[in-house]
Amino acid sequence: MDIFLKLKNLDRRWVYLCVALSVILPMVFKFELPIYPGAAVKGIYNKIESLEPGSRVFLSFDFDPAAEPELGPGAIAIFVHMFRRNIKPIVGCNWPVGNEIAEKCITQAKEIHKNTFEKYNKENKLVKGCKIDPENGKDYVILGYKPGGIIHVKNLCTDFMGPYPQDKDGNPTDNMEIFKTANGKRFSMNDVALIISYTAGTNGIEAFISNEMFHKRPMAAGCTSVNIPRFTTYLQTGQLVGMIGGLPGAAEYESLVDHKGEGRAGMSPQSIAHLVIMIFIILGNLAFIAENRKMHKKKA
Amino acid sequence: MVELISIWIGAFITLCCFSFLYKDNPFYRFAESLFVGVSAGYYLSVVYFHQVLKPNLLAKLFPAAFASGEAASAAPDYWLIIPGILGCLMLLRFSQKLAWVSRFTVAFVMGVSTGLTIVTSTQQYLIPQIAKAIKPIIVSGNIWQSFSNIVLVVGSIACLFYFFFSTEHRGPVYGNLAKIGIWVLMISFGASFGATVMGRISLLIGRFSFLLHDWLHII
Repeated sequence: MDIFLKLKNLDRRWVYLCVALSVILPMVFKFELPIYPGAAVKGIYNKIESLEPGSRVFLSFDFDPAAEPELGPGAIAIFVHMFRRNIKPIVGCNWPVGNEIAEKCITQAKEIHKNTFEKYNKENKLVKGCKIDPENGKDYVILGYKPGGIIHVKNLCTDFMGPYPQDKDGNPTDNMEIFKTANGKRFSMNDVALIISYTAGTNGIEAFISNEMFHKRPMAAGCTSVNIPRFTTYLQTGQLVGMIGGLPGAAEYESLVDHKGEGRAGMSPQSIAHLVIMIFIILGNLAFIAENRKMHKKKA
Repeated sequence: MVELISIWIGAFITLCCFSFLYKDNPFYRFAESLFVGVSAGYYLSVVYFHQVLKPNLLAKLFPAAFASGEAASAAPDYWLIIPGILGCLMLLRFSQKLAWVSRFTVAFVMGVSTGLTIVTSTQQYLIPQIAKAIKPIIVSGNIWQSFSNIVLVVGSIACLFYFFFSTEHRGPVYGNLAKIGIWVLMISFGASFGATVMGRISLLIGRFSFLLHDWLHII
């Protein structure tokens, strides 16, 4: 029992060191743990699989560099999946720095797509019309950041060209092939097949859910781990077709698209670190019980 | 070369932040102050001016001066003078005598936000959540679904009972339901705590990945 009492007064820096080692060691001495995609992640994957090639999907990058380690790998995996299915991502941002992160993710996804194109082509896993090098303005576009959150999204429900007369590089959006509509109408949210928001806080997927009555489009979310309990309620109500929750969600999506990225690489340190934290929680509780017993004995 | 320098600076700042785990020190305070200063500068110049004010107001009011390409020859949109003035009024908060004028802008923003939020919250959040909480308690031939539905319905009702404060949480029905409500809330807090730990470890993995891969090339 005394050992538990000593543990209660353990210097917190030993805990930090143990957690740091539990992350570093699995990264250095690599090993893989099995990953089983859950229903929420499969929901997005199956939805993208079911879309017609050439469909346009609106992706909103509503996070900043602080959430990039969690949301970036999932975003890259989805881009790779879309390029393989010839689905055209239209990227907007409700958060200012989402711009730069979106560009970085698309560049990495294009690189992965290019490197695996031949292999997938030989295996007949690419859809007709899939390009080795997707072009800006034709196969994808990054529109950039616009302030306003929920009001901005409401605007997009009627017209994209008003809020976004130019893309993030200053190219006029009016003549872009990606925004062409069959009936010649101005492009709006009604023309996208799916909305995905990578959300780290406010003005994320909830801005799109709030406007569901105007756009009536299926929605999905990529979210930080902290937000998983909050957004699970939208999965339950059927307002979201799927969700990629944090780094584990990204790892699950990477396994579905057969890509070994940062998500899958992060699962062994994540699991070991969780194990270490669980051990500390159990030890902390045992120390608490031991202290209580000692106090009762003293009183008796 | 630029990339190499930026990686070394990033690694140094990361180590400065980590040093706080040992104890407070000048390196950590330097990193903290640097972050605050750079963020303020970045948001003021890049975000608020170049990404918000310039494309959304100045380029549309004075296209010849602020817009580029075809947009430079477009006709000015004079309707934007109204939100422009409302925005300028907010700056009067710096004056003690005229600070009250900024309340017009605040009132406008609050009115629009409240109007939008009340409608959307009811239609998109409240009603779907209530609708999905109405479930058959017994599903014939599916014991697990029945159990799941009972947990959902009883949990929802018990939590609502717990937040009903106008009566004391006592008695066989009311007291016990409030107790169940606390248990359900505790389980949900546990789930939130677990998710938060998962998120923080993911961020730590991101930082160590940067240090070990991009900086030290160990992995």
